[in-house]
Amino acid sequence: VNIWHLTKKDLLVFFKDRGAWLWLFVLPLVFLLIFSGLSGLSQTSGSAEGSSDQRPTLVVVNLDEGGSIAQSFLEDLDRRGGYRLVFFEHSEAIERLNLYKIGRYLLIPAGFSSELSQGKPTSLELIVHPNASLQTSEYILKAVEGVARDTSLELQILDGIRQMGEMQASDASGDQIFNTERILGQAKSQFERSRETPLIAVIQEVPRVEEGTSLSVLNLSTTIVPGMAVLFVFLAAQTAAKGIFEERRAGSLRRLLAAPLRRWEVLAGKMLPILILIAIQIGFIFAAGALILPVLGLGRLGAGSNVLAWLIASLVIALCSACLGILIASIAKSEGQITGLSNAILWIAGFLGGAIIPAFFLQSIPMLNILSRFVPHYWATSAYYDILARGKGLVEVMPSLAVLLIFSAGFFILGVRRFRFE
Amino acid sequence: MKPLNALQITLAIAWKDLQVILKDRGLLVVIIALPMVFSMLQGIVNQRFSEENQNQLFPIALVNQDEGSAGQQIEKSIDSINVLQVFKPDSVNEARQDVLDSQVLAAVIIPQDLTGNLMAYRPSQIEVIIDPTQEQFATIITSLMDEVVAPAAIQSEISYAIRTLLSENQTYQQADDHTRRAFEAQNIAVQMTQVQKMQTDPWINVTARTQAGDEVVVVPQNLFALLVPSFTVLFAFFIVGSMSSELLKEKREGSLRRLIAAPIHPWMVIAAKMLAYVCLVLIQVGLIFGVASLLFDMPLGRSPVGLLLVSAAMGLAATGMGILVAALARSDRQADSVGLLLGFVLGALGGCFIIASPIPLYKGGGTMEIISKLTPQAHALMGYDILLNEAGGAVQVLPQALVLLGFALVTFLIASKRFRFE
Repeated sequence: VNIWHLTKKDLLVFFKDRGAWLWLFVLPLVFLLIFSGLSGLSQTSGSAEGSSDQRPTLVVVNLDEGGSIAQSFLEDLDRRGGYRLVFFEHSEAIERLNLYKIGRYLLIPAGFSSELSQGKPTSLELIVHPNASLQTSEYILKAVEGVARDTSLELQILDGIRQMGEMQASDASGDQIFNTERILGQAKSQFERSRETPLIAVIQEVPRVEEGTSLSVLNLSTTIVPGMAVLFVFLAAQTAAKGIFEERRAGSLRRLLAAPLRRWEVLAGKMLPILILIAIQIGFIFAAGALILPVLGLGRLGAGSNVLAWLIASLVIALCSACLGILIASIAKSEGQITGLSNAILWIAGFLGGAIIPAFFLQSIPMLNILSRFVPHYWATSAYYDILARGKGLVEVMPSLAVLLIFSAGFFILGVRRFRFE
Repeated sequence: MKPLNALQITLAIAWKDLQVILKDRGLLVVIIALPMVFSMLQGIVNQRFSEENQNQLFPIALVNQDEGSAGQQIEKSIDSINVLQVFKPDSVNEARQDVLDSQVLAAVIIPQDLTGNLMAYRPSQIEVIIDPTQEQFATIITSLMDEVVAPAAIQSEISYAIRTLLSENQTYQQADDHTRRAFEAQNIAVQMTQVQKMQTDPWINVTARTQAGDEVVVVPQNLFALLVPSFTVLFAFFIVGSMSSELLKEKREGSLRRLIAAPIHPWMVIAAKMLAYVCLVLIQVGLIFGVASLLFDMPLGRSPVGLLLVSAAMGLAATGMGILVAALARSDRQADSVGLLLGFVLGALGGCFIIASPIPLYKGGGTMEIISKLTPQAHALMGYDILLNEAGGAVQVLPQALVLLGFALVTFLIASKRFRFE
């Protein structure tokens, strides 16, 4: 009962502190808006997230609208090209390319179909931004070339037969062998057949894997929101530390020592309101994310397939942050140290732990990959990512949660040992 | 009071304030250490990621079970694709296992009787087994294979067309072996010519062109020249909260009132405080840019005067905003919180956050560009961009410096109407 009174009092104090509100709720919301807003602005077009089509996008400008060959070419490209086609007006594509909002676009010229129908060669152009990856452009070119060759198969066959006809021209019967009507008929029948049953069909097989082992695409909803939650949950540790520090300065902690409680019991009692606040904070950030992201077209945010795993992971992360708050309060000698030094450490740890940019970007650098393992943020983002993006359950995220619990125990024990009540 | 005396007094107060500021480790960490660490960490990660993206190779496994010419031709084509890193396991099972282990993105299986089937104009299948965990990229391999098999397929199609037409002709049917061999030789010649033509002068020519022109926004080659100024400007504006709360603290403690009693104009105190914070900004820019240049070869441009001009103008804009916040806030805590929020929100709008797209908002086009250019942060960044990435001089950044100075003047004038010294 005493602890509950203490907790209630602390919660009231926190809720009256506007600075605490700023760090617990306002800044996470601002950051969520900034990160998701900027990510939303950089999307090529309506996101494919949430739909089953996760192929990379290829922007197409079709100036041959209504052209049947262009249409059939685009259908083939969409079906076999490995890309999700996104259509833009030419002016819009140029503007987006100039601003590097897209890396490249494929231009189908006006008269593409009519020129091919008349047996005239034509061309397609891939217009590329100077900073776009050359490798990506190269394999897009290859893919487009492959489909373009199939589209022009009929012309190619015709050309081959005509060439043979020219070779036979000296022969009196040559004209008869390769008369125009027969040539066209043969080329057309082969072309049609090749569309139904290609001579060399490239078939794709996707081996079945256990559910949940598939690495999904960089889904912004499953990286931004958990990242922000982890970043601000751990930043809340300094808000909590500041609260405790204030109490020490005001002498209320010293008065608590007069109560029949052990040191660790007092500190555990101090942790309870922090834990509740952080749990509310996590709920708030995820709820805000769930509301904001779909509006910005960045996919839906759920608690994964396992709500219980998300709930327990959230509690463990909150506990770890609360213990860190106790540790910071026990080490800091002034409020300046809490706002300055711990602020810096927590932001950098957040960066290293994949809370600001996804951890797999950091993993490309061995040194950062190793360093990231030493911050609790890494294990927290990993646990959330496993639950939300990979659909893993409680048992599978246990290793990450266990490491977080070890961090929590370490922070708490160190905090209790070093804590000064006056 | 003589102007010289006034200047001396202002400088003396500014020096005293600067000494106090330089002892505030929390502020120094936020203004100098955090942007330095952040910009460098993000710079390293982005630079590495960008290089990897440029040189990205797709590992694939290739099993050629066909001993004929078609299999060899396809194998050779696959080997020649620059974006592929081709491994050749001994068996299909081994290749399949490599896919399942995510060792390769896909396995391409050329069937045993491909050449025979093509000669007999029988359909064949090339199998592409793709990694289910990287399905969205692996499907690109399938589309590449379409391009690779095209020459073999076209050869067979032309051969079949000619043979079909010939077989229907009486002259050919009655021809002796010698004549028939001549026909066959011509048929092969036609196939070869057509394959060559397909590669050098296809019916649909697909070309790539790099977009050029002044309107194309290009990302600096050294990403530090983009990220370091962004973080520096973002954190430079955090002096708003610090300065305004400091002013209000002094007001609360009565030191400003005491200064009014001294034979100096009260606004000299404010001007001195502004000067001290401008010096802090200059130290911040000098240190961060210097370290980035030394460690990461970040270009510093050719105009130290230009750098000084933009940095000083930015410092004045930030301090002007600081006084305005101090004039409007009710308490030092409120000023601190408002300063922090303004720093993040205006920084985000101004283009200090490089998220998802390397093009900052102030040159991202559309409404956001207009909104972005309303913030002082955007103009500071534009100034640094001109100096660092376009090797501009002091004259080129005059418009940005003037906008910043104008911003400083407006905020200062509003603040001077509202600020109360007691």
